[in-house]
Amino acid sequence: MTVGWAMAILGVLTILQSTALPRLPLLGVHPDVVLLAVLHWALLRGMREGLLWALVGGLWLDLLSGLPFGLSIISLILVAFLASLWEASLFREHISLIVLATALLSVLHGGIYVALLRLTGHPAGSWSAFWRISMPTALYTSLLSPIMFAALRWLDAATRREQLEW
Amino acid sequence: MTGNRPFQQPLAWTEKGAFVRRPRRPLAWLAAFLALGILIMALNGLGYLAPVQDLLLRGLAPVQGFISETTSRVAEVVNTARDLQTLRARNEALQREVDRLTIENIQLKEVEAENANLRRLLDFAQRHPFLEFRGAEVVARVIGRSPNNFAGYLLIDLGSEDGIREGMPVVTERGLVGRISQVYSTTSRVLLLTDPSSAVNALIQTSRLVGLVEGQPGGELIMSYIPQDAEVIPGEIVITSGLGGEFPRNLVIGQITNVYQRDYEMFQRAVVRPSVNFGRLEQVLVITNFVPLEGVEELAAPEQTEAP
Repeated sequence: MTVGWAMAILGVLTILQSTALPRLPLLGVHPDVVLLAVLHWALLRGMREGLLWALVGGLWLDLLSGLPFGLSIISLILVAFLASLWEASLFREHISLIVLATALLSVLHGGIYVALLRLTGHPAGSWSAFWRISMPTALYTSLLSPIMFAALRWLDAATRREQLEW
Repeated sequence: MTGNRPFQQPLAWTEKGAFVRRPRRPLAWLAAFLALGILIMALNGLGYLAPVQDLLLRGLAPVQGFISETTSRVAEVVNTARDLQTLRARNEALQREVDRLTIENIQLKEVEAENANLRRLLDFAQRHPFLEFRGAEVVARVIGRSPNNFAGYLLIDLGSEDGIREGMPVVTERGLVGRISQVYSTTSRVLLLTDPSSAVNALIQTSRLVGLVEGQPGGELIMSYIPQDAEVIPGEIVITSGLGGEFPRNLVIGQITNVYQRDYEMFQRAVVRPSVNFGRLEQVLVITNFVPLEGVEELAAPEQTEAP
């Protein structure tokens, strides 16, 4: 899976996340499909590709979000690292584990992001933001995990023979 | 099976029998990527990424605009089909309201004309901001929103090439939306009122009590620093006061829905429901002839006020 493909896929997901998905709010938030893709790719492909997708996905999000630059990069790298430590084969057979793992990692991502916002002095870095935004986002995002995991598992199988190219 | 190559890393089976390489020093990989991320942050802080961002947004704007418009149309069809009966009743009610407002508008035009004459006669220095903006509003299309739930931003399809400048107020016919926070060549970012970093000097229309309307995580608006002994009634309209010079005065912000008064606090707080539906914005107006005052301190607290 080349860097170019990662940029294209995550770019499309970021654009969808900034255009179409805000039209589908649940509990006042929209799902974080970039986070979902990064977590699942880290589960499927391991650390190196997971961290690469985290870097690329975070770059896309930071370029379009308007919040302090770099927060998405750092937070996605950290959760992708943790996701890549888990054993992928467990998740292929148990859809409930995928949803659970995604929910936990999404909550963690939200907590990390809020902490980073607080470090930068942004007003959104508050405990209130964690409860009102991070938690509903994690719930909504994890509901989509079976669909995203199925799609990325197909992509993983189709591109399995390719080596990571820089 | 693992071969004799140097620096061989541990391998693991996957379900198809292919191998996944696991790095021997996972923390080193983590540190390397984090360092790369911090380097990118530093490059952005030094301004090296600004041209890249500008180029990217310029290229993405048509795509975002197309997707936004398509999504709006689909949403419109779905909502219309679902709400047909409700829409019919609402249409009848709105038609009655339009008729009433038409008559009221005619009467107000008479008052306006008389007011203009009186101001001319008296050489009245203070200008009504609404009149000031006629002919100085630019219509912009909303082509995107912040992909991040923590931020309240819109992306519009006008930029520096269209005369847009940072700080310009953004409105709709229903009221204040926010202000231009970042300008690129063909697009601009609008900081919404509901963003936690937004703060607007405001006053309650009937009682003329001043306060500060701040965005909250989750999209709420809270009006703070209302005097403790003042009477605040739900339903009252909140408008911009013009204090601080960041926004023109008399722009509608919203309506008070709830009041929080605690005896041990110096000030009261009120929840304000915005007059604008930020989730359904498709077009906005940018006021181009209002120049925000720079270097004027706003009425603001050291810490952001959180909603109770």
